[in-house]
Amino acid sequence: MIAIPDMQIAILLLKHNKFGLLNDSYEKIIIPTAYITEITGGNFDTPISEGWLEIYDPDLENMMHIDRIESKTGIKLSVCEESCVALAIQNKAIVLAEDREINTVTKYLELKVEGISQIIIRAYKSNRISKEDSVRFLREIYGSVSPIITRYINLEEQLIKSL
Amino acid sequence: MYQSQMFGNSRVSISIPNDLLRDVTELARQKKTSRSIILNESTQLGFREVAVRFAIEEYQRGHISVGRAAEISGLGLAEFMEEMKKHGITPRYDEESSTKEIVDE
Repeated sequence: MIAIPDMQIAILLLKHNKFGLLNDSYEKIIIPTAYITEITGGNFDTPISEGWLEIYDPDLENMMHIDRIESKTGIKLSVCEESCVALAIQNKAIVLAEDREINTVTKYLELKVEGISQIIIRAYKSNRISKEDSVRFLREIYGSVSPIITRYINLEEQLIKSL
Repeated sequence: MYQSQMFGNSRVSISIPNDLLRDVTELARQKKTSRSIILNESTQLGFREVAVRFAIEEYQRGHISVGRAAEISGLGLAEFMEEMKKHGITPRYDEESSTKEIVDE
């Protein structure tokens, strides 16, 4: 299963030294070259050399398709987000995103979307991260945002039950 | 060609409140520089905040993603998210996304 993280997810994972969790959780990770404008390319040297990350741009046809979907839904994404969703169409991949608008567009396209919580659970199931580390990471990311805390507490309970 | 245009600046005419002009004049006098330099610096400092506020307003109005809002602000995504935090704005997440499916796998 190929996954395309949006830039927000990529930044969050890199910031917390958790980008490596994507390895094992997904068959392959692809990101568009547009990310390199904000994220230093050096961050990806190891994943590329290990063979689980590829960086390339989506076809123009898929970018134009996203543009049409944005017109239909009235939602406007950034160039990086458009490239992420276009790559997902091109590779029949999962989109890794938290943003509501990206979720709306990807659902319209009938693409599967997963967020940070799902990434953590996958990594946890693959023994790539401990329960304590999972919980700490989720706390760091979601802080005191109430709806997410609710989601986080649910997740924590599920993690404990699954032990 | 004006020297300012040669170095990437353009000359514009704006109206500012008299009180502000007095403050600008006083600061220019204290810093031993021109009012033009003070106003140029003030505009650059103030513009980013104006752009960020506009981007946040647009984001709050809905229909644009956080990435698009960052583009509007002229900041990178990470920096824009920090600005949102400073303004007490939290990103919108898709509440329908559930962890159940993956937990039950």
